[in-house]
Amino acid sequence: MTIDMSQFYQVFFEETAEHLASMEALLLGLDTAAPDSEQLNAIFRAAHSIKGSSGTFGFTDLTEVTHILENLLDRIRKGELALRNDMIDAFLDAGDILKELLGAHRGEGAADPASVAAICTRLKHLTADVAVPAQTETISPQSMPPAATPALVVDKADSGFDIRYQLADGTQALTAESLLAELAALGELQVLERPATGETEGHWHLSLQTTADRESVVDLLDFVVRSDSLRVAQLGAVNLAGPAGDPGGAYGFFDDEPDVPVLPPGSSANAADDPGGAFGFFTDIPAPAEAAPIVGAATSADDAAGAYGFFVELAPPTVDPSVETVPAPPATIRPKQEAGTTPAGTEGDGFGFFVEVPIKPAPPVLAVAAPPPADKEVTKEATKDVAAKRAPAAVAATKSSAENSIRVSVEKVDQMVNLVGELVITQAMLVQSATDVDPVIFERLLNGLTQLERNTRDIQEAVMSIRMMPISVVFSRFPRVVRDLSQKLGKQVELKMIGEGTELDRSLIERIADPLTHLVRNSLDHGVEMPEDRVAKGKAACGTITLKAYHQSGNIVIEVGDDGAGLNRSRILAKAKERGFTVSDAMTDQEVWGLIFEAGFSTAEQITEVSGRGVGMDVVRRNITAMGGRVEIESITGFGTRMTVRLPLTLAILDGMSIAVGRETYLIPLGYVIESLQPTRSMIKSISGVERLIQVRDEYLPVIALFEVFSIAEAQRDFERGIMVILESDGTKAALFVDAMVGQHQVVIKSLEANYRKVSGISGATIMGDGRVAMILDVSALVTMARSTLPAAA
Amino acid sequence: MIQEKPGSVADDAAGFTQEYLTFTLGEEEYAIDILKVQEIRGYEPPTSIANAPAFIKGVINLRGTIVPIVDLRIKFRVGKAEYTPFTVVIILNVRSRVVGIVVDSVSDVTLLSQGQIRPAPEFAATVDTKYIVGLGTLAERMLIVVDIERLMLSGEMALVDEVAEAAR
Repeated sequence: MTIDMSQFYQVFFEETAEHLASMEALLLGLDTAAPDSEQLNAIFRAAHSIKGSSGTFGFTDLTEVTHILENLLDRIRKGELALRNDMIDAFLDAGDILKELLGAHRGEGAADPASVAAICTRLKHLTADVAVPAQTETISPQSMPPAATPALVVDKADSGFDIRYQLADGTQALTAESLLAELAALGELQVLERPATGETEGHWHLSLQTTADRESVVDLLDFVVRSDSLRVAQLGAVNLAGPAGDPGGAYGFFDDEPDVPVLPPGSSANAADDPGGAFGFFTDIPAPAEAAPIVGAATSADDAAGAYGFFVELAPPTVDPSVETVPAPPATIRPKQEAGTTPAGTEGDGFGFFVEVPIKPAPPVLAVAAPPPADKEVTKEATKDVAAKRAPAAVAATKSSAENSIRVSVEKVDQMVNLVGELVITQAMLVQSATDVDPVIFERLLNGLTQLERNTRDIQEAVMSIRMMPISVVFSRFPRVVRDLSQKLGKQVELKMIGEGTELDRSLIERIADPLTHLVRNSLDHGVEMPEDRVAKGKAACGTITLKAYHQSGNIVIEVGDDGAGLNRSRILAKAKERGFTVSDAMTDQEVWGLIFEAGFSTAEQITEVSGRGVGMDVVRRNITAMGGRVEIESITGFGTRMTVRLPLTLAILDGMSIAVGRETYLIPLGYVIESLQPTRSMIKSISGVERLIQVRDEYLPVIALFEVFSIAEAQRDFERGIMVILESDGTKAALFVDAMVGQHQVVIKSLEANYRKVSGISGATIMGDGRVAMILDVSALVTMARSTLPAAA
Repeated sequence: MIQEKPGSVADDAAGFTQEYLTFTLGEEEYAIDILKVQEIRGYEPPTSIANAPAFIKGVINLRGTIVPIVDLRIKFRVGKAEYTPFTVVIILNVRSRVVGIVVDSVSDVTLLSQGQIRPAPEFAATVDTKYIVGLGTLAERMLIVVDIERLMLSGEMALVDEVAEAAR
């Protein structure tokens, strides 16, 4: 059961994270002076969806924060409050808090309750303080904490509501009282009927004279009371909503049409209230007699746990007596499902799978779905059963919404990528063996092979594109980063993003985010000057940071550019000398700029919160190199700096240079290769009689003889007859001696460790076009090896 | 490491019957649990692995999986490690690891009851007797029943990481 629920949780987490992300993006895109109502609505909808689904899953902390957030948004959206910058800040911070809370539920860290409370107060403040002068306005009520009830102004009680409800099971008596207090704050409250004091079970019947609209009353109630029991009717027009209540209204999903009952009252309510119907979901359990104790257990567990939000309330009091006698007619399931999904489908907000849950008029189902801490085997089955039966309905609901995608686990896609890799190799082998046949006799075979080749290529591209994601996934975080940071630093910065649609592999997306963030922060901190300095230099006060992504010859190129001060050559050199790096004034600009990637190097005059601790740029480069990419810097002092990151399109495919040693073929990841050359006698230098160094221009590099490292017989041993490949890893250069260079390939990386073990100097294996295995060299290990063996040899 | 039935259970004359794949290394006949065998294929020269022991011939591409190939003839020092068109590789699947072993030829699949397997006497051999389940008798033939899973995953074979590292 836990498993099943956690499946739903996962979707909830993903969706909520998406909603939060889109909310943040929209907030950042808002023009404070003249907010676009469409955007405001979109933000509101995002907040609302989070509230709805978090309530469904019983994540009440999320619900509370979003509820307050939503109130403020709602007022802004309706033009009751003018949007201000501090509100946007508060919204963004609230978004962060929500992310933290979400993270806490996911089991990643914990949210700080103090900051949650702080943001709630801040939002309430923003909602409330402007509301006071606006005499005639109604105000959206605040959620549960009674102390937080804002100053409300109700001058005439010219209308009112007749309210009937039952509290959700497990609701504290205190909550019941504070609910009354809050309702009373809206106007004149009369309690017509209530359970005994201190009791929470039973019917409440209230009459409220208020100017507040129905929506705000329902909002107040909807997270405390049983959804199916709530009935709010206009006084004088009692029973407007019918006996079923108005589930739509109750959940605030239909804010724009609060008075339209969404469901035909009869069907769903009847189904929900019919205890027999409630057990329709247990029909697959083989022995109906068994159902009784189990359901009893589940119910009591729910009661004990007390806090499953919507799920808690759902076991009807009539359950126990009915269960033994009423075998469920399976037919009752369908009407309920339909009743549940119809509003979701027409509602159009695109909440996907969960859309139907809050407005589900079949509570008993959910009572089963809620996981009581003490799991029961049969309940598990029942839940699966329920999930299975709900699935088609949910799909229907999702289809009608805007989303037209499916979620697939990465493993499945990876498996497909692997299989296609095999297909490509097989196809290549076929083509190779077909080169010997007579093209006249085997014309049709050859035509077929050509066709196969084309199809294979298409299928490979299509499969690869599944893993591809637009880089906007990464870029989308930068408006926020730039905004926060430029405020903190007192700089004016405009962020330009170009080529957000450029796609790259999912695995790279995850790993490129941190290095890129670092580069952007670095540009902002070190690159862009203070506004006054910029004006003094004759530049616009507002600096520009440009993020640009594009494809170039099988690579993805990401540029982070700024129009700031540029790098200061003399300062970098001075700093480098101070830090004890070997530098000379004759170094090219390119080499000087490269120094900032060295560990422990920072030219910031003082250490700021943002950067200057000298960790970072070296990490950036290491991370990018580890991805098989590289980073370059161009800079003109006074005009700006541009960092260019080049990455392969995917991690599964490697750009490699194949080299031969003896009869073996090895691959060197291209990212490590600087150049290759054929050494002459004069370049080879020896130390204590051992030829161990090669002089390349003005550098002495250690020589790694691959035939020695890998003990390969029959290899070329004469340095002059082979090839030296100059490699660089982590800033250390070395020359790798090989027999010959073979070519350049794109290869699929395969694990050697799956069936064998780690081999030092080898990072993996791949399958070449002829179907043979070739080893991929672990360049950084080889370079380290050279460093450690050099003194020993000398 | 636990075989389905240890060889010592011989109180029942017929005992527990199991299928074994028998193969030859030089003049000797060996038997392994057939359930550990994934497939049998011809020998193709593998890509050698740097600094690996001599009996690890290298790795091959088995439909996209990189599979190490062990020449048992070299490991057991029996016969001559010649590679002819009849040289056979038995692809084993032991504990979800795929390993190929080179043998001279595959004979057949034999049913052996526990009663037919006699415990091997303690003797000094190139193979540690702890990997030998027993000696099976089939008419005139003597089959050396090997616990192939235990052997393949042992440190001696240097196919597995942690053990290999300790051995270095």
